[in-house]
Amino acid sequence: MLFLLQYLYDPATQPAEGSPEAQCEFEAWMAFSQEMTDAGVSVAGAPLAPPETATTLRTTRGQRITTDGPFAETKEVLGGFDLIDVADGDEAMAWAAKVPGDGIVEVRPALDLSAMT
Amino acid sequence: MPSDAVETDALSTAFAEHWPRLVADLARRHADLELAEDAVADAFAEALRTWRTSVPGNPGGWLRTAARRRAIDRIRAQEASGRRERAVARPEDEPDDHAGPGHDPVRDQLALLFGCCHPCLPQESQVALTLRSVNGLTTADIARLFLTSADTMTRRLHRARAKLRAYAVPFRVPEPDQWPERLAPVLQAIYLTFTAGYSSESHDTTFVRGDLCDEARWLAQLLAAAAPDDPEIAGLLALMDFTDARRRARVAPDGSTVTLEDQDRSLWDRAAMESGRTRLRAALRQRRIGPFQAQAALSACHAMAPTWQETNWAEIISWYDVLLAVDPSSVHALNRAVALTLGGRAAEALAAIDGVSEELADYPYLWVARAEALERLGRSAEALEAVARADAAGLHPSQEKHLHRRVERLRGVRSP
Repeated sequence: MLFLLQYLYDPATQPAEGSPEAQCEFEAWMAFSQEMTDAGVSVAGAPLAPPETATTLRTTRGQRITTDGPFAETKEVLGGFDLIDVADGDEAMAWAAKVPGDGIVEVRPALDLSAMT
Repeated sequence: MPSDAVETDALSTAFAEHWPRLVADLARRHADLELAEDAVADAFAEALRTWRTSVPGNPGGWLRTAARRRAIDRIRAQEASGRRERAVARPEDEPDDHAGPGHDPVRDQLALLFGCCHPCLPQESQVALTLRSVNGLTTADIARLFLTSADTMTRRLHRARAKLRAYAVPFRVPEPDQWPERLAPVLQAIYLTFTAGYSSESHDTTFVRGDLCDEARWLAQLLAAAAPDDPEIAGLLALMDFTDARRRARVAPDGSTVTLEDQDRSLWDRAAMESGRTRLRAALRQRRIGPFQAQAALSACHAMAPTWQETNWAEIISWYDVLLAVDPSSVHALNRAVALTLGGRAAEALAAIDGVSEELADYPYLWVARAEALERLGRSAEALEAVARADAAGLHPSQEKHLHRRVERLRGVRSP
């Protein structure tokens, strides 16, 4: 079954670009990503460009308004995601526990459309 | 209700013995905790009606058959109404041989315990769900324990079960390589249950609360039977031994709580302390230290001291160092600072308290600890300010008396 892992972080507490800490974190993420690929659970995933590159389209009663930036003004911003295909919630949570570094992981099961027909 | 007390007794005995086994059996078969509990409740309702006339020779077998049948009925009804996907292979196809391989009631209960403490659930829900499904406490009793309404608790439990279903949690005992990670929340839930049991015994004597210590111990023993070599399970059991050993000394004749400092140590249960020390020694020999072993070791240090004055604070401080290394929480850091004050290192204590004062500003004990460090340093005016902060942060009623005595002492220092 499919689970989405969304990674959120607080830009204020990020290690400086080019610092040894940033390099270390980058390597940890690469290793984590490789581990998911090797285990054959990764369906899709990517780190995302910074939140200032986001465009939000909001449609209300057919009216579309476009704004710059992410839809929610929160301290934490979305930094990347992985969509994984695993047997059950045990496995999904085990992967979530392996996510490197400080920050937030939001785990969500995808709805099983075949069960809804 | 049956009028005959004999049937009621048979039913409550059967309930205590079979509830967790039956729920565990059905949760495993159908990977659906809500369905499992509903079906088991149906079976007990049926027993309440039919055992009036005669109690079956094998109550457990009767209940299992009834519960499994009711689970299938419920699944069919859900399938018919489109609320559930039609299963390709029905769980009822599984051989119904409960004595055969694959059916181990203890393992089923362990699987249920791990499922209820699943990492996808917040801690409060893990504890509540464990008490409901594994221990068989009523929702009303759990609601009282969490100081909330039965309706709120019903909704919280419902949400938790729905989440386990959405995550397809399989209700199986985790693989050995997953144990350390999956065990941590389970042990924490058990310890919270135990703490809720003893911390309330002095001012709330209702049956359910005092009984929680026994429920927690039963869960820990369930784990210990499955993993006798795990040092953290042993550490938790040792910690519970030490805490239980002080049970009689902890409550004053007027029902108020007596702190460790003022306890009559002759009331401590030496046999329970010895049991704790035996378990702890065996656990520490494995050299796989964890938070529960460190906390049990701290309890052991107190158990060894003939009087409060003779406590070996240096040893306690070094065990806090170990605890902080494996579980770096601010509350542990604060407790270490209290030990520093008591060990005659008040200046270091004050610096340590300042290090966590932002994070724990709403925690009354931070201000009590600060007041005591300041008092030792002869800074009584600042100590009184800290006392005022402690009062403002709101102390637990059982601690108020103790604090007020300290305040009196501090006021005495200020204006003799």
